[in-house]
Amino acid sequence: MFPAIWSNRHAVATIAVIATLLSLPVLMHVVGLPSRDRVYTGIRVETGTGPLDERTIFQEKGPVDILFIGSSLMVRGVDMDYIQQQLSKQLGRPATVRYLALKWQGLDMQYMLMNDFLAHRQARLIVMNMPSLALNGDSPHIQAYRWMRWGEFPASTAGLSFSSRAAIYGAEVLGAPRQIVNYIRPNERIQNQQTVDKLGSQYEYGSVGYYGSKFVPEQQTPPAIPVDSMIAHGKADPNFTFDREALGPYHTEWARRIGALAREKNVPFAIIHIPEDTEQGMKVVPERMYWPQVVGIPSAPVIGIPAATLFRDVPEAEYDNYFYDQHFNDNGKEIFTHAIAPAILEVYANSVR
Amino acid sequence: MPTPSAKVNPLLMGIVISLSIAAIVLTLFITPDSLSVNLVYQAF
Repeated sequence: MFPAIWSNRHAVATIAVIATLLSLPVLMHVVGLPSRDRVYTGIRVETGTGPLDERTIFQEKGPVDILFIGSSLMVRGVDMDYIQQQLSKQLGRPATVRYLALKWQGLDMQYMLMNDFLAHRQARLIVMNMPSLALNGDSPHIQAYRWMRWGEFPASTAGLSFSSRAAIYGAEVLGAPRQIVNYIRPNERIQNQQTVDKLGSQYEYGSVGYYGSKFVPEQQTPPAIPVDSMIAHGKADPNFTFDREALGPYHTEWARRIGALAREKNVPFAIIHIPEDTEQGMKVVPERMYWPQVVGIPSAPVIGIPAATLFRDVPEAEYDNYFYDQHFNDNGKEIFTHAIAPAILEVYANSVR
Repeated sequence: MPTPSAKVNPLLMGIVISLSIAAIVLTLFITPDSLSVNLVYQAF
């Protein structure tokens, strides 16, 4: 049988290759990492809103009135143009509403987006959607190898367990060769801004029916809901539950870091619940945990509408017309945004007062 | 006749095997979810 290692020289070469690959994240940190915007350029456009995030964080200037940060649920759940239009009316001046997101859920990812943004720009209010039950397990974000680089966010990873740090390092090892390519031959930015907007809004899912069925446009008028009932008044609010499966220690730690970052930067912070297809008929907004307590900002408002209330005028058989899977299609996005907008504006008014 | 690998210094072979195990263990820390989803989306 032909041996795997046939000489001392071959053994040394094999050791050198494996050791270099395993220590590449550290070596890159020692040599000097490329700037953070390269991380976003290196994310494949098919996997999320990387180009839009890059433009929002690194290219645009000036403060933002409301910054939404979250996963694809948020991208497909909130019509940012409508919120911006309504806020402009309320303020009597052009308002700026932006969002940052990547596909798949993870508070490590949301911390990264928030941290990068606040390092470059100011936000008057940050609104986040927190992980739903769709977040399985307690490990780094699916795309973590694309944006986690060794030596970054040191204060944030300090509280993590050894296994979590090993998971992060594993992701960094996986991503390091790509980071080198980003350094040597960076992707060009997409020059067509309409393409960036389209990719960022995940427009391709707007007119898709439930799990591939025919898309049925709905003209349902959103219900008028008292603003007060869309904002949780403490843990025992009858319109909300905060007792679903708790996050594991990894994501809980990032939730704490998000809260700490908001406090450090003195940015008002709020949480929004985006309904999912499985919530049909639910009379309460189901959240996994009482987030104000978890992030360490007791005054952080939690905004949401129970699915039974949002869809009270929608026949049961037509409920699925508002989703393309667990996410809203354009039907759902519009009815939800129009219904929840007054609560968002109220939270903004209270935050900047 | 001894195989060529018999000529390799046992210490070097030990290091090769240790590093290989380290690489495998590190890979196990990256969740199967992450790997499969990224393969489906061709995200690599």
